[in-house]
Amino acid sequence: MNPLERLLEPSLRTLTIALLSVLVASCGGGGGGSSSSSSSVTCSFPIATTPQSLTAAETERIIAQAEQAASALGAPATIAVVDRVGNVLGVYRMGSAPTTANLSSGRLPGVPVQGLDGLNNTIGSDLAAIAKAVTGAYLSSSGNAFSTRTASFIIQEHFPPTVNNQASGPLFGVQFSQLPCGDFVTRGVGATTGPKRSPLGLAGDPGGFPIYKNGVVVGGIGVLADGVYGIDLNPTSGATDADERIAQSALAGFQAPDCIRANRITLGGQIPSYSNADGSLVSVSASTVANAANFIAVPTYFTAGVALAGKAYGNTDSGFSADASGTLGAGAFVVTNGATNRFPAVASTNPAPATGLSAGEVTQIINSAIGVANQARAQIRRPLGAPAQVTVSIVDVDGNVLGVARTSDAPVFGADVSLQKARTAAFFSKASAGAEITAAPNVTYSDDPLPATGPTITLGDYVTASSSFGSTAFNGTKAFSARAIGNIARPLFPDGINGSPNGPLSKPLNIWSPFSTGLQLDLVYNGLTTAILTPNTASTNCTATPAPTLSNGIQIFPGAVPIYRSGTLIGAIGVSGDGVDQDDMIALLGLSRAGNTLGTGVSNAPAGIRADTLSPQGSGLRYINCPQSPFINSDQQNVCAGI
Amino acid sequence: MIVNTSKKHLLTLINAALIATLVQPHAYAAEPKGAQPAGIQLQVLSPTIKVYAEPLPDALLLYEIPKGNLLDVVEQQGTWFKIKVNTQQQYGWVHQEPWEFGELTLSVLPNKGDVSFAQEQVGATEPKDAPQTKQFQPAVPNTIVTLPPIDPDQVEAPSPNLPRESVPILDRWRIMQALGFKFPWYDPFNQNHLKGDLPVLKEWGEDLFFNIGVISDTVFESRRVATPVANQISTAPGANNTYGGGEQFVFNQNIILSFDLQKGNTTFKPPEYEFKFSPVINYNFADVREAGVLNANPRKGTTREDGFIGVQELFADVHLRNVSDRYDFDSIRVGIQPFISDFRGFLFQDTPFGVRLFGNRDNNRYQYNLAWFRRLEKDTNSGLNDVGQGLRKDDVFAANLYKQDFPVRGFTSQVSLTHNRNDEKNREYDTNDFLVRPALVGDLRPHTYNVTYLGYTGDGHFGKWSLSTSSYLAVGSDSRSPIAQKRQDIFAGFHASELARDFDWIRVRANLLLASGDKNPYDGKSTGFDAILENPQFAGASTSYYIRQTIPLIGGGGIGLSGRNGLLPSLRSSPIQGQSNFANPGLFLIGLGADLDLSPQLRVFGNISDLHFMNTSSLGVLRNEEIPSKHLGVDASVGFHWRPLFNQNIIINGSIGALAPGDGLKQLYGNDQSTLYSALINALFTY
Repeated sequence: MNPLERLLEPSLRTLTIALLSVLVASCGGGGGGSSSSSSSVTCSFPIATTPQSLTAAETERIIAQAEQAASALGAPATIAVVDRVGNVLGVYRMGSAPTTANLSSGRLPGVPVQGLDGLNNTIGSDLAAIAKAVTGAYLSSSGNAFSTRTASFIIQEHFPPTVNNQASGPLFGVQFSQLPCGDFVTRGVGATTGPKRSPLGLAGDPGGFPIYKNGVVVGGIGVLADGVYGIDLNPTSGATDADERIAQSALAGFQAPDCIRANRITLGGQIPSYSNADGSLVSVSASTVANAANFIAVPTYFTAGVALAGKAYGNTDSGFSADASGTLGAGAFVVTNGATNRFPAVASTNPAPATGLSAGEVTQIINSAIGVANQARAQIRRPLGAPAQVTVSIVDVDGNVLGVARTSDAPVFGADVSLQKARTAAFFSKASAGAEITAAPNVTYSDDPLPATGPTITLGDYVTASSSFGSTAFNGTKAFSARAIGNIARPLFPDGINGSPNGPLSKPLNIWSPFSTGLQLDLVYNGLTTAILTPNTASTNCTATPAPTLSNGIQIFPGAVPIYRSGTLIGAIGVSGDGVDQDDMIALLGLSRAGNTLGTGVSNAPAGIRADTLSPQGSGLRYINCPQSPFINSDQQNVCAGI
Repeated sequence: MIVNTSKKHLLTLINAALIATLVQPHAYAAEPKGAQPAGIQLQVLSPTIKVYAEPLPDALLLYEIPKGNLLDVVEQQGTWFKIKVNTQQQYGWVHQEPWEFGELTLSVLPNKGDVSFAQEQVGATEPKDAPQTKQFQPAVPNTIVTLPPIDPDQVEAPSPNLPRESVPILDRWRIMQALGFKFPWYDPFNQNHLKGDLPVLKEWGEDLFFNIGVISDTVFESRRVATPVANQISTAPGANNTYGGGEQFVFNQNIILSFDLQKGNTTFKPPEYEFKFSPVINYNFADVREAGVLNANPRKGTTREDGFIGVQELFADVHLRNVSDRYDFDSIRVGIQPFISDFRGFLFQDTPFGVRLFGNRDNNRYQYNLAWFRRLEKDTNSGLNDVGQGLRKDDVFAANLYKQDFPVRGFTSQVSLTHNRNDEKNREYDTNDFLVRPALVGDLRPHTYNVTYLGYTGDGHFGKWSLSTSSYLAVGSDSRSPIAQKRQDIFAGFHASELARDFDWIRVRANLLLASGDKNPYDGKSTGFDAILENPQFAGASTSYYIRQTIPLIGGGGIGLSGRNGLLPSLRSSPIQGQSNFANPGLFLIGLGADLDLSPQLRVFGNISDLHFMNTSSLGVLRNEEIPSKHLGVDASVGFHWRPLFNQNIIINGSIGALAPGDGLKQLYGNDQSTLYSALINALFTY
């Protein structure tokens, strides 16, 4: 053995490990000490504990900043600012800005007009800007900041858009919520009680953002300068958009915290877009608008002349405040009418109590569901490990609202959507659903310029198609969850698989777009277009089914299950606000826990009649999909097994 | 590296047999007892020959005479010869008897005059260090002649005076046939046209050799892997959760053919050129419990049959020059060729297309490679090269230098500089319609990367301790991390060591591996180590559950926590088709293993490793989840390696591995996954 060998042998292991551990550790150990929240895995920023709102001066400053940015870019714009509950605080149209919006999905050139694409150049740019502002405000919270570009990312036929064989976006169909024809949203000019309706539903056209103060959403801004109200069909292209550059530039001083923006949130590992304008913002400093006369009147949304102060979400007059009863679960909020709970737990109308739910049972179901939400790992929120934040709605078989509650920071959009989902589950599970759809009048799409028309749709065809597809004629034999309805309301079945046929409740892919989804739009088309074109129409039922069955429209993404007692359908629970798997779990598990607590026979649908026993075209539907790693601080999985 | 030792050995045997055949009829001459042969000489062929006082084995030993000496015979009694020991008329008796390889200890030469023939043949070119033929000079009586110590590393130089070396042989490849030996054409254990033993295509050249190889490689595998229920549809009602049934069965059959044409001496002198073509015919079958696992389209069901023919080798190798008398050389190889970056396949082991200049120096003490490779697209289910899809925009530039006996004798060191340039901006879907490039994580924008790996690896032994060690430093940049959505600098490290010691028929091993993890996916620095294409022979390798199985990161995108036959939890879409990812949690492994050679046919081995992530932040981000523990789990496996015929022609391998999840893995996959196991049987038949 030579001297070197003698040196090495006894200490070989120690030496090697020590030296190389240092090497490897030094590689992996760098990168600490970052001060910017955008570059940190952890996400902490000051969040005000008291309700926050925009002052009138702040509203004007944001609009002025937008005007300055638009001028700098040579892109005269229509600018809208709303508060968190959808009150329109200002609509400002610069002198030479387009007055109408070219409503176009960009998907359907060369085919007869489909869905809302026919309203091309009929809709005012003011409505488009308001819808974008509402979208920014409604989708966001102190845990997530979503823009209209984010919305565009999560409503297309593939998620992520353009990727073959990927299922559709998790919020597929959410654009048809907060509808101006609905019964849940409130209406009228001025800063009053929300949540206000959106003139066009939610928007996927880039250029709508949430507005933050002290870590809290206080509103949203929407800009329309390019004259197009569309969607971002290819979000991986990184293409910039004038609307977006103006809107985001206008947020100087009111930007969402970096670490909660959509591009810091993973959805099944994918990261939705927040903005493509980060690198092309315009420096702004204006605090007053150039011409107050450009604050234009928008009937039923905004009165001309002056910017308004917003309502503070959490104060009773905003429409959302803490539950005074203390019965709805830890930290629960309720929807108010400005003074009291709009939807206190009440007994079912159809079926009547004994069979139908009592007020006490409704309270317990909400309480259990809020309990699951508080336990659940959020999918769309930062910091990691935060609980889910959702709205829970309970309806009876006729769609009567039996109770609504939410967690304190749930995104506002989920209030209307949870009710849509609950009504959808109750409706499609009942015996008369197919007949009620078939009884609805035909829909003839409007075409540009009005009063031209496009194709006429017979709604009963959807029922016929479902029957022949193998997913029933909606005659009460199967219990449909919102997820199962969603399965058959996609332009591809199975969802997202290229080359597959459409689901029976959807348009075929070649004539499908986010502006023309199929039964979802066609059920509300007449009510919706009337409310868009004649905004002071009094009707609060978007559909031709008797109010309130589906008054605010159906929803076709997961998060609702029907409620049964001893095998009889008695209503439904709908949940919205976090990841769709979380929404599913909160509905299913909340109802299951409540049923166990109550011991009154209230339960989920019997397994044998659930829609997942259907296998149209040989492919089993999904009834529910509870998330991976469902609970915070727990390594439990598969918590919905056997329910 | 180039010298085919088994072939060389085979030819040595043939030569020995040939010599025995030629010599025996003359040498074992049945001379009448007590004859007085005139002018007969003997030459010593054994290392020494004993000289006795009388023609009896137990007679007084007088001398020992070393090999090569010529002895004058004065009398013969059967196989005993009386020889003149010195000029002082001293005599002794030597005995002719069988020696190794059929030779005799003494060769009988007809008479003195014939010796000059052999000496003339050697002539002026006679090497200086060759033993000189000489008349035996008398040694000191009754003393033993001491031979110089034999250096086992030195091949003994041929003795120039041996008459057998002087026999001209026109076709040395067919001597056996000329002597009447017949072998079946297919018999690989004897001279065969198909196995490179005999020259072919003589009209093209006199030393062309063709070698065909056929290997059948069969794998049956049963396993349980955390498996998601398809998002869109289910295979049965009641699937309420993300996780479904995880049992899977896989059958894989490869027929590996190789066709090799070489020109040149097939012994120690490297061939002048070589053409090789190795197609592989694959059939594979998989049976799983959930839809959407085997194909992106969940309607394609839960079983899959597939087959493919891949080209794993297709190259021409040209021997450029010899640079020393010992055949140190430079050679160039162009085409689809195997390459392994280090002793254990930690960085890059593949069969890419490329151009490789390689050779050696200083009696093979230094070996070098200078290479450019462009990786080939792979067929997803067989893992074979898909030549039809062409080359990937992914280049590997490799330069390495091996030095033997450094720093100590018995240990080989290698330094390497490897650069991986990936420029793949287009989307790529695999055979099963899953997106593999870019990976289905983050914002899905196309991105490219450049990484340089600085490596030191070594393999050998320090005294009784065997050590195999590899260390890499990766430095470079990723044009756009899909998570951070901006450029990231890459700075990552890797080290693995296996320390082993043999105790008779037991080898005990200790394993250590450290691969740095990314601390923060957003901070502009990617510090998770990823390889180009790893195939590590380490810590149980393919018998280990963790190494063998792809563990999907369910809910974190269409990616695996780690790839098949991979150690690094690098969160790639596919090890063979995906891009490298340096925003990964890294790995710390410490383990023990043992090989038990129970018999020459049967080896049994086991490994146990404790696995930890280095940093879970990248996992947490992808799953939108806090992962409080770094403990990945404990991986344990046992297996056997059985060679029923004592050779490599039939090999049966079997193993069972299991992973006991640690708290970190439980956070990802839950606390009620049934045992994660992997059991496989592998049968190899080689012609």
